[in-house]
Amino acid sequence: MDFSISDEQQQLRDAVRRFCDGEYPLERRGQRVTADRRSKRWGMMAELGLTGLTVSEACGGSAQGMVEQMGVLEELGRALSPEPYLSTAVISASLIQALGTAKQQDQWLAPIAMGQLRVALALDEPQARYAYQGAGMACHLTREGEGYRLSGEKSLVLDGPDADAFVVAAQHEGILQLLVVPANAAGLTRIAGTTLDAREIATLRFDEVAISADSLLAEGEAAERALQAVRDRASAALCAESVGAMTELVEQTREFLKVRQQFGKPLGRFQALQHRLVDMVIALEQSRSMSAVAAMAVDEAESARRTRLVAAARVTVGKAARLIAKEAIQMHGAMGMTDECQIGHYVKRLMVAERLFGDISYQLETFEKSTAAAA
Amino acid sequence: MRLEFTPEEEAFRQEVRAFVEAELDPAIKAKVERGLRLEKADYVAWYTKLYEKGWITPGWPEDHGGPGWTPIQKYLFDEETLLGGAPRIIASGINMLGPVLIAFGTPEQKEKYLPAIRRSESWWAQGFSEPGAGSDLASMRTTAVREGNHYIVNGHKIWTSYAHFCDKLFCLVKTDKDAKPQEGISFLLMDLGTPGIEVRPIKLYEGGNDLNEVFLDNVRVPVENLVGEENKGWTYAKYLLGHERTGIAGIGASKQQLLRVKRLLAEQGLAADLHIQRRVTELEIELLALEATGLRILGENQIFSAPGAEASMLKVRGTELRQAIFELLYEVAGPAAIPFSEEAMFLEGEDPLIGDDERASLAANYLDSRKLSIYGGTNEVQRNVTAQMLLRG
Repeated sequence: MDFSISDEQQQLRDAVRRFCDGEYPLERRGQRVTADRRSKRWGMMAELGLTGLTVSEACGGSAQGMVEQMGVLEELGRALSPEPYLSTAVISASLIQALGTAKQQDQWLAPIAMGQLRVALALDEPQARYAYQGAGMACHLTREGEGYRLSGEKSLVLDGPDADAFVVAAQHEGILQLLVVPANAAGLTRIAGTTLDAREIATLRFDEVAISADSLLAEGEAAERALQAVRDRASAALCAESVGAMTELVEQTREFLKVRQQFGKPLGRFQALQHRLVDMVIALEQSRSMSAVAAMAVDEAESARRTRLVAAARVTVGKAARLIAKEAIQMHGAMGMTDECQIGHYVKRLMVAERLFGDISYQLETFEKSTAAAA
Repeated sequence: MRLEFTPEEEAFRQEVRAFVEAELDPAIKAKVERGLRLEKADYVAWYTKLYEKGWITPGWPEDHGGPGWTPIQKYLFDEETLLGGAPRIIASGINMLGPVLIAFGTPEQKEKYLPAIRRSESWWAQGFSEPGAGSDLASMRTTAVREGNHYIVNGHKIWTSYAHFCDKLFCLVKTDKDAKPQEGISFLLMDLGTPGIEVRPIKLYEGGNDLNEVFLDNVRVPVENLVGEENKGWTYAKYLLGHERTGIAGIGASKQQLLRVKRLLAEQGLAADLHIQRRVTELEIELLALEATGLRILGENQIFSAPGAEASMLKVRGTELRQAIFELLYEVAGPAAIPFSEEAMFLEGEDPLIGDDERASLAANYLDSRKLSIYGGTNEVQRNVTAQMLLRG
């Protein structure tokens, strides 16, 4: 096992940090921005090569693994970037890369790498909680001539309002299907909303949407395997993003303890706070380690072991995020609960990250199941 | 970054594992795995096997008999030996004094002491703590006054681990009473047979007797037994305490005890108890995270929020985790933790009420595990040190 970070990985991270420092000034982080601005920033990220990191070189990307993207995700999390890096560049790109035909890859991946296309994952359904329903999901396809009709509702589609297309999970006669649906398809209604941390999210209603046979990416077992793999990949990405956000929370809290004076001395002179700051740092460092393990597992491990290690990372990061968030608020006092203070925006980002693809309890169960499966 | 160890590292792991399986006396292994008492002869038997193999001093440089391993190899060696049920290296000569003598000792001291340490012929006790100086080591009061070619040492050391196994003592003494707390301290070597030295065992609450008091009454120590320079002892003590970085988290020991939890759960028919199982899962994940951090420290280009405090953080997390595992073991024992007899702490002994049931030792193991957050600098001191790094400037 080797945690060494190469110079190339370091340079990529540094480039993203420079972009974030310029694009996301501290006082603006956590605020909603206009659709126009979001679209402009996505173009800038494409110029940096970020939107094509998962995409193959044949389609204009650079075919990097999760290990290479870990530093990118940490920096985006640290700057509270609301851009659809996770949903488009990590999740959708990897699914189409893994499952798509040459024609589908050309059609979808090349524009993703160029920053011309944003694609979101439509997986969750109302009432499903985290137990994703697979072949039992309500969204379904029915045969019509050479193609299909798609009906049903998809919820919690992160970055859905800006998406140009969706990777949709649905079932056809009890068999899981993955397909790509353009956002402007007739019969698709999109209801836009915002997340707890002021990002864009949508519910999608499909009413007899016409689906051509060449929109299908995979079905049955291949689709199930690909979904599990992409959930693990997304989880590893969420770990890295959360490590970035936690790093900033710890950093801001540490600075605050140095400068805030009460009872005639800096808060940092009170041992009750010193020891708790150390526990925050320990939790952060454990998370940083496990986030790296998750990224390596996604790049290298066979499926049961990959799922097990990623779940362990999600538990570690999830618990650390709770601790660090609560302590950061407490140590900032009432100021920590204001909208003006940055702390709350970071806390909310971590809360949303914890719930995407399964909370701590869900991850504990996943760890136990995949441990049994790997044995 | 790479998830797998290299083939060479895996081969090394297998080599260590095979060695432990072939060479470790099953009776000693049983004692370690069941948390029973070990005699000095048990340690010496295992250390002698390691010596013969050339593996007794992984932390020493090659020209002093170290095996020349990479940090990863040292890590794997620790993990595999502990996981295989081998006794820990408790000999302070190997862990502490050896590295100090190699760095600061005279050629004569090295020649006289190092080979005997490697062969387990001489055992060294560590005379640091005093009744008035626990975590606050610098406030120690044992004195050494120069008289011709000798120091005359007077004082009282306490919490001296395994002194009853030892024939030698390395000791911090005050050689300049007027200096600031950390400045007038020297590092002296003594023979425990010197007139004026008395070792008294301290009986602990779970029946253990690993700790001792050492009384020093006008003990005459030759000046050639001074390590390094007079009044520089604090520097050497700090070097000694900071020397061992990878072993401090006790990852192999935690893994071994977590296997014990699982074995006992199965034996006690508790495998289906979801409440206990979930706690095992959480500890297993915490152990994975600790292990990853231990290995990450060895990697290049790492980000750490408190550079320089890595060892303190590993000590805190590692000991808290081991304590949590011992607490869970105590839980697994259920009402069988109520009867206690000291006989049950020996391999051949048994409790008059519950016989040789392994659960008879679990309450004592739990009580013993409380030492982990106290020794080697209490966890509070480790947090103080880390906070100072975080908040200075």
